[in-house]
Amino acid sequence: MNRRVAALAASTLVAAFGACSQDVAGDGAPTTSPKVQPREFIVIDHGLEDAYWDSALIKGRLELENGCLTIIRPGVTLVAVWTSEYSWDPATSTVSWEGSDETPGWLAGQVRVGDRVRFGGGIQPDNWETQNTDVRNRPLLSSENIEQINSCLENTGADSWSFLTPPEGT
Amino acid sequence: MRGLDAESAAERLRQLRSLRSMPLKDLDPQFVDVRVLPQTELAVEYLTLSGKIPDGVRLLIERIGYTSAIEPVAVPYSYLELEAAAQELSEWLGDRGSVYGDVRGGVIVANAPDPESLLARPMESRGIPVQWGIGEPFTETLGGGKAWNDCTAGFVVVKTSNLERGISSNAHCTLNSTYNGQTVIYSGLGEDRGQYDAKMYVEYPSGSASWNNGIACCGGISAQITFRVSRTNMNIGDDVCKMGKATDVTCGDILSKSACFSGACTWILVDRTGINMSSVGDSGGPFWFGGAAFGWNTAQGGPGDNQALFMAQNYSGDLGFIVAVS
Repeated sequence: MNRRVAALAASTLVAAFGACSQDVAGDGAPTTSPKVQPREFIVIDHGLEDAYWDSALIKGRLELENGCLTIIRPGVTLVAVWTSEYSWDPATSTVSWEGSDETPGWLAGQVRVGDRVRFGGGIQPDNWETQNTDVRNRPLLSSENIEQINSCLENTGADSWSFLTPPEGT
Repeated sequence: MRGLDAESAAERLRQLRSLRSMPLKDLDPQFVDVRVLPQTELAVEYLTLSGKIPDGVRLLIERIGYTSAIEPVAVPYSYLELEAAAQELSEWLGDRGSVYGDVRGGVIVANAPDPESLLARPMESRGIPVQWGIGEPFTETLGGGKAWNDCTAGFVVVKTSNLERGISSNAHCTLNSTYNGQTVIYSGLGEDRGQYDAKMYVEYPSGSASWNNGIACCGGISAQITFRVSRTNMNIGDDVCKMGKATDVTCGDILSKSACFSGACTWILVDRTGINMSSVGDSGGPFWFGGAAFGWNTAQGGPGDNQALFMAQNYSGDLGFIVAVS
């Protein structure tokens, strides 16, 4: 049983500093997904450094459903929304992104439709249309983005959507 | 602080770090602690048994470049005296409540579910006054800070409506059905995602779990949460630590209390050069220091992607639950 003598205000805390995980975003396995352009490759006009981003782990399989990129795992389907570092290559059905010299953990990478993937992000609330802002409290989503997201939520039956950030922010 | 610009905040942090790096205990046998005051301009209290800052210490403080106000405050007991008295009372109280020492107030604070029912309840311990309060009922085995699906569990929390206990994490994390082997369900308390981002889960069926007010951290040592710090009482420069399943325990300084995220500028920004305060999977984990609960980790970003944002713990009261402190 714990002794409940609380730590005083100047308590000493033993800090174990974090280890960096080395997971990668995609398994790189070749797929047979059709080489089609998603109608809605949803990219916001902001980069990763413009805002703070949810720190949940978003993992599942990257799929192209009714023209929308989604992350699917048992029980949850999320529409993928990307920051400006990400690009889509219809020839290879691949999403690619650049690394960052200033942020060692932001390694360049790519994932292909059908890959198992891991990104940072978070499930959006019901009131998401007004609840995404940058560090200056300006909207992250344009009206076009909002239309795209709503269209994809409707066309895929997804539960919600998530910004996707590099798999490891270390 | 609200209204403190980045440059002022950085200067404030530099000065605080200089002050805290001084061996004040060695320089002044009467020294007890330094305490930052909650106001926009940096002001620090020098807690001391003598009520004075020795000339030699004041001179050295000026030499390290510390220029902000620092006021001596007389306190009646040293940390060692408070700790010894709190320990003695805790041994008497056993599992019936919790105890901590309030150095500035010069009292031992004891909480029990029903203090009046405690026979021969001491009103002092080792000569130090005891202040009794009503704490929440407690049993224990399950604390916060462990892996929670795609996130990290935060604090053990208590419904304000009926004192039912449960576990918390962020609202932006996927729903969870188990925590550390315990079946849990969403309590219906939580969400928002403007200035709030938290959810409470409770055991299902109820009655089998024992929730602990601790955080699993620090190489297997459980940090006990015994009091809560509201956003108002947080200060620029305060040390805070977080537990997350990706980066484990890391500690930093509060850099802002009004960072903007998710449509609100009420988030607490934490930074420490070269330290990763939040990474993918750390969402929902607790921010605390010593026995004090500060809030729930929510987001990452900033230079090097190393900064973290957390929601002040007192905001969860608007969602219907509060951090358990006993």
